[in-house]
Amino acid sequence: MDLSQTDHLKAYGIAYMALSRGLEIDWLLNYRGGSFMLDAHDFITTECLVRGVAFIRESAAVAASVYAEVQREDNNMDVVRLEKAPRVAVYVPPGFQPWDDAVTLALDYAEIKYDKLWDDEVLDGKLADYDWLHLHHEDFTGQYGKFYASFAGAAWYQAQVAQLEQEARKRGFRKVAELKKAVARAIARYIGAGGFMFAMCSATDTFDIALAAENTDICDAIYDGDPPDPDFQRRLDFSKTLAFTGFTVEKNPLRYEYSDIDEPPSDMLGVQNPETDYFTLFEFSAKFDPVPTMLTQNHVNVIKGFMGQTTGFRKNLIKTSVTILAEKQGTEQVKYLHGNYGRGTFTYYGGHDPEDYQHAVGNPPTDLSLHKNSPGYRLILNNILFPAARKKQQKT
Amino acid sequence: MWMQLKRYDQTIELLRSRLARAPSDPNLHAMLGSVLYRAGREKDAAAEWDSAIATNPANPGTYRLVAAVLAENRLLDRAAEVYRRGRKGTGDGDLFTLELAQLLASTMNYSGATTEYLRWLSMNPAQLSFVQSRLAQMTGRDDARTAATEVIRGALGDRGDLSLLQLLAWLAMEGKKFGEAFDVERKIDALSGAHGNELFQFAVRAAGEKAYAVAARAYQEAIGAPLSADRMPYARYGYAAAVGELQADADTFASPVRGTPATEAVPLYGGAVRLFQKIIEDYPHTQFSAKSWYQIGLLQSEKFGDREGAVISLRHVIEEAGPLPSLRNDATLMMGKVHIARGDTAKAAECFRTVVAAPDALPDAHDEAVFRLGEIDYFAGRFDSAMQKLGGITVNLKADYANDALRLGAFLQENAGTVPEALRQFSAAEFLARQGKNTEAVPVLLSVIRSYPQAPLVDDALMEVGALQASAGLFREAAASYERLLAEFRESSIELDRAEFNLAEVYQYGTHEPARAQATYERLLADHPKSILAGRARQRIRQLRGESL
Repeated sequence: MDLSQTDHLKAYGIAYMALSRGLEIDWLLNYRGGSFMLDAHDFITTECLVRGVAFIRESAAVAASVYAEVQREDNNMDVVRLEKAPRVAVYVPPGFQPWDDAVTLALDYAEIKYDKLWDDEVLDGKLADYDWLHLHHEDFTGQYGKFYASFAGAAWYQAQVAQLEQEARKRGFRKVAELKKAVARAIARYIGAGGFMFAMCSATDTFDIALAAENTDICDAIYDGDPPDPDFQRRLDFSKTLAFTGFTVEKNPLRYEYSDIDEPPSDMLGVQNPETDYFTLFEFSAKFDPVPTMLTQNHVNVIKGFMGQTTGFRKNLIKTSVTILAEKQGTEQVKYLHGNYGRGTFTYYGGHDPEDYQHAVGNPPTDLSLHKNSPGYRLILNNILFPAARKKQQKT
Repeated sequence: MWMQLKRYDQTIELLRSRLARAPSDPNLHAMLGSVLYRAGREKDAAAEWDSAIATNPANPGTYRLVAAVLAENRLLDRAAEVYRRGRKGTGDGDLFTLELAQLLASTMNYSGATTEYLRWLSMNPAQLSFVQSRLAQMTGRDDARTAATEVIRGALGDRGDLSLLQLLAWLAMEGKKFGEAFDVERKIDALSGAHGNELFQFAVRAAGEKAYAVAARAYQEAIGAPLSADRMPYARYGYAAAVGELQADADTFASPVRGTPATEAVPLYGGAVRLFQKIIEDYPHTQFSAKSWYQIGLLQSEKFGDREGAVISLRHVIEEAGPLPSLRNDATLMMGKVHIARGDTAKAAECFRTVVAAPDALPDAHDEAVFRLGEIDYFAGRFDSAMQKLGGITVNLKADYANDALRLGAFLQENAGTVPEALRQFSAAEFLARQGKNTEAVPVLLSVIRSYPQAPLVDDALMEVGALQASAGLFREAAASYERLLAEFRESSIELDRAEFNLAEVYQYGTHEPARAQATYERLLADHPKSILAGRARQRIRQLRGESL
């Protein structure tokens, strides 16, 4: 899927559909920007035509030569067999939200089925039914997105607060922050048990902050009715986090920022120049590092940046066990990272919408039919298929 | 400071010592309750808040103080409860109305909030707009709007309360429930003695939201009220236009391959025509009669095939459109097109030249007039003159007619130099087709195909044959023409994708063979994946597969 592909995003939907129908797919890592090889069934080719996905029908001999090329020792390529359509869940609150979610947009556009889960389902153990979980613009710290300074009077904000307070009370928590911490812990347990978690925007840093703040109160009175623990910074437990360590939680309740993880900070976004804001994907050895290679499959390796409440991650706060997949060169900003947690894995991707540089509250959702070849969105979809990959036997 | 440091035990000790000196201070009790609550001693906190109230239960300020402390601790339900207690304690059931409404809305108790806002309205009847603006903060949500509607309905009962009815109508409109809104608007109109004015305003809004059925009924009732004389013609015209839209919605004969036959269209659109005619009778030589003539002319020309009638109607528009120059220019343009359809290019050209010379013509109208003059030259075989006129429009590529001008200009350039005679015959056939003389046009085109098999326009001729046959309902013949083009000109034609698309449309809408239509759309995608028609073909396939688009 190099630049000749007419619709990179829907190609993932085709792969997903084939897996759903019991077909196996070979993901040819790094072959022409990462490509899918599967048996030529008429329903697949028809569906490619209908969805506008470019494909090439090759003879067995040509296919064999492609495999040979991919597996040649001196080529940084490899084959990963995809066997089963992952069961996909998206953590999303019920009802209206005045912003969109890049992953649900990508899934809808690619025609990949998913279920929506919220706190009740997570706490009731429903995550076990899914292979892949996505989190987007959520706040696991219980500060309602830190929108207080700008939107305290907005109807949607008040409804969100009321809804979350009701949910917390219903589940026996005195505070929303306690509910959210419990949800974060349940998600962490799901990953630890072998789940795949993909998070974007503020779901990334707030998830880690919530885990670190298990035994302390970081929320100001305007969020939970009582002052924060004056010593909360010292009480953060970084051993519980997935990706970040040594971060400092923001003390100002009115500042639209959770911690110093976000790079650049939200109040410095104005000085960013979209014309020069690009991030670079790292290149990995397909044969020795298939996982990061899968996650970075793309038809370009320099991708235009995009902002979010959490735009990127400060490099020096990332745990050494974490693999950095993309960064903004010459800066401290890491855009995309991946790590293992227990038997599962997590991927964090900074920013809100890869095709809307500065997506503001209330903006209309991005029309992906105008961004069929979006490399930024493609990274999201790499994650969807990643859980479908068969694990290679480890050499003993 | 101790509170900020969460040193609750020391704070409690301090407050208790203060209370020992001032046991009737409600502030100290309330604050102590707050600290106890934060320290996790909820029962003690509740007792302390009760003590605060007990210090002065007849004073509304006491309840306000305690409720504020509870709200600060995010105990919104309990804060609301304190306000309710306050009403009983002070014996004033109307106290704390706005505070309660706000609290209840914050806890998503939309029914309760609406009840309080209605209480406020009954105390302050002049504050309808204020109440509406407060309700608007929550009624963006469906559940809140439903709850508010039910409460207002309950409060209204069988009473004729104008304010409540206005709120009800507003909520129904917010939810796009025009039928419900209409029922309420009728009551408002009757109750307020508006003589149809309320209904008229509502009809205009409903028509603006394309709710033509409700708009038509509302206009009709406003007219029958009867509405004041100055608004009557507006309502009459609005009603006729809404009926026209409804009849167009009901026109199931029209399809992408064939228009509605005149035999069906005349009765179908007859209702709207009669309404427009009556407006002309009752308001002669006014903007209403001019606009009505225009609508009739449009139907006569485009639906009924009544060109002579259309000329007469449009002449009336031009005569009566005095203060409406854009209507006059539109009518003149349409008159020109009707003259072309009548075969009278001299009169048509006169109309188009009038628009070109009109100082008040909008740029689009001006460009269309120039384009039509170019077309007339083309029909008459004056190709150089046609190309010159079309070239003038293509200077501005953003103009609406630039694309049409470019297409015709390129076609002329390709054929005028190489096969002028074939082009002359082709343009003559197109002129016949424009006059609806399809049966005469088709043989001319077939003759062009036979006589000039190497001419670049041969595939255009076959496309035109297919389109004419389809519009005449000869779907098998149309399909054969497109198939022939696809078979015989596979190597040379640039119209192959369009031919496949048109063929699929004939199968879909003409012969009603969905499977063949789908297969043909799929073939288009396979053969021409980069075609400009690929997106539409994909949409049609999904439509045929019954998928939601």
